[in-house]
Amino acid sequence: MIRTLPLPRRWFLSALALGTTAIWGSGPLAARRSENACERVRKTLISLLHERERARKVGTVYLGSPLGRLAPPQGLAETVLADLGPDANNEAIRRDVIARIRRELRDVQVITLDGWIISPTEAQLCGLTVAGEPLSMMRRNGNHLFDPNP
Amino acid sequence: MFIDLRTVPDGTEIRTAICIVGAGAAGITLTRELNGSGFSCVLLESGGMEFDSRTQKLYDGDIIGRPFPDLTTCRLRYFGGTTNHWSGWCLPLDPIDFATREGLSYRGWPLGRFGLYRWYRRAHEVCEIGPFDYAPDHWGIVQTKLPLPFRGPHFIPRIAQLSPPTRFGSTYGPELESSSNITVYLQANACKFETNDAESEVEFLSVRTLSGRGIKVNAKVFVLSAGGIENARLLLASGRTEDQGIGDSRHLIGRFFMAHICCWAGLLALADPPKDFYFDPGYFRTFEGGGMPRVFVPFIGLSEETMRRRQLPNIKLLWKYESPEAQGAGGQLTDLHSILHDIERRPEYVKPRVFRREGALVTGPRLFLNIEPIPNPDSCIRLGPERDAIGMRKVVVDWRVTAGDKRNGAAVLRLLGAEVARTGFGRLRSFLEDGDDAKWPADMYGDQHHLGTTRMHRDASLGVVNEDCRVHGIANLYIAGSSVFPTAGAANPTLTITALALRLANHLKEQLK
Repeated sequence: MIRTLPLPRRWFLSALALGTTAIWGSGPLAARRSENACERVRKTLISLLHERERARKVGTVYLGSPLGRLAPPQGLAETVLADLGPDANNEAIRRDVIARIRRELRDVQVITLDGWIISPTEAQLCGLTVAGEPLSMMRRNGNHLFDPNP
Repeated sequence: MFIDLRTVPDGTEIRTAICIVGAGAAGITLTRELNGSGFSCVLLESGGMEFDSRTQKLYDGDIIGRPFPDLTTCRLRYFGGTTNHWSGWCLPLDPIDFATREGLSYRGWPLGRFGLYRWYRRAHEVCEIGPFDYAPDHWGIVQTKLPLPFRGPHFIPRIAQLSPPTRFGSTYGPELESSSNITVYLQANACKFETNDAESEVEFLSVRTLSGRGIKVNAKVFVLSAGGIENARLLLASGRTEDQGIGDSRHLIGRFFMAHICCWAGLLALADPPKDFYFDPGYFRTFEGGGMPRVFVPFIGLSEETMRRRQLPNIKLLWKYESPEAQGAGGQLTDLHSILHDIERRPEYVKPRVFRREGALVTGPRLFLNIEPIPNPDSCIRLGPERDAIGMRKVVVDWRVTAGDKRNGAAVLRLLGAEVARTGFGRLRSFLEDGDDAKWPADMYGDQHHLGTTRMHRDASLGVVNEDCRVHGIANLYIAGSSVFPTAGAANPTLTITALALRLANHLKEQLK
């Protein structure tokens, strides 16, 4: 025997349509929101560097190294976003990055770039200045940006 | 009394209480201590009172391992030994150098942490240096003026004292010449120890001149003090079989050969060169305190706490200012700037800055790193097939360093790089590539300190001599000199060689009473 639905048929169909929309629509929307926040953090991070050309040189070497492929620069933006949330202001981001670098240097969690001893956050920060295109483009190119064997 | 062995009849047998082989820092110090002791003492020296190229050539040998200084130029074979061209650096081993250390193999002296300190004080008199005091602030170095990275907790200022340098031959020769119980034989090349059937005691020592004249020395006690390589060579040459030296049932003689690992290890790009950058590691200075000026040289070391916690070796770090023309080792990132300072809005960009030092234009210093080697049984000296002018087999030096040594060096530089960056002092470019290999800069070499070939250990399976410097299993054969060092530390060895000789002399006097 077929049980009668507790909801009127019209309500049920509306709910079904809304649910479908939500399932199909929430992923891209959330991703877009997150991408926008990440892009904002990335821009803020780059703005912390005043000697942009020098930073680009460091960043280029970093992205060309195996380390740059293991820990791409955009990872820094994502980490900062995850730590501070989407509403963090520029000053909070600056302080967070300084603390991060200081911690890495104190704990000797450093990497070697062309022989120079540098903290990973510094390297990622410089890496961000190299890839000027929007985050979506970077994502698409991703780890192959400077890969000699893409 | 000094006697040229070439004037002694062939086949002569000399009887004495103590026979000492080799008149360098160890042999001369030991012999001086026995002056007036009442025991007859013979000191044998291969050379004469002056350099002679034929005798010097007896040092010839092959180098088959890593690059190593020419064996005929890095030591001297005449009265006074290598102190005849010694530069005079003196500093004791650190307490941690004597200690066993968790996780690090083959470490530790059987003398306790302060086992030699009583003798170091007297060794200072022998080496004609200042008080037994190595605290930098007692040498005019003001800690608060030091650049931040070198005020600890990892890197600390240290000093070495400089001997005039004492030429042991010319300084102490007259004293030995006028002694009533000491006879010095020149042109006397020790060739072979002959033991009793049980190989438990040396019965006599065969000695030869370059012209082929031979004598025997019969002694109650023999002391071998011919240097870090020759000590092992003579023991190996005295064995009854091809591959086993005297008292060498465990095949240890010649193994664990160490030299300090030296290389130009990095470049320091200063963020802000201080105008009065008076702490220049590696540059000689004079201290006027204490009545008379004394020369010393500052260097950078690791704190004991850091060595222990990070399982790092002892080091000596020096630097040399480069002329701007000599610069160019900065690689692709010569203008790497301090990211940290940039985002902190302090415009102290790091790049090779040119500044004035003592009137000359210089740029950031190049770092010279001297690293304590890991004791390695595969690093060795042995006897080769060729023979020298007196018929002894020439030595083959197979000096080896390991990936562990390289890791140690790279770890020290990473730590220093992090510290100079953290404190805003500058940036460091390391010439030691990261990685788990033994790849070193092309200019890496082993220095002229030959250590470890007859290492000291209480256990005969781990050492050639015991804590009294007596060869395990042989009742009357002792060894003096740097060949008994089980670990190298970072100190130049002459002061420790002298202290050990003083200690051994005291032991022998007690034994022979």
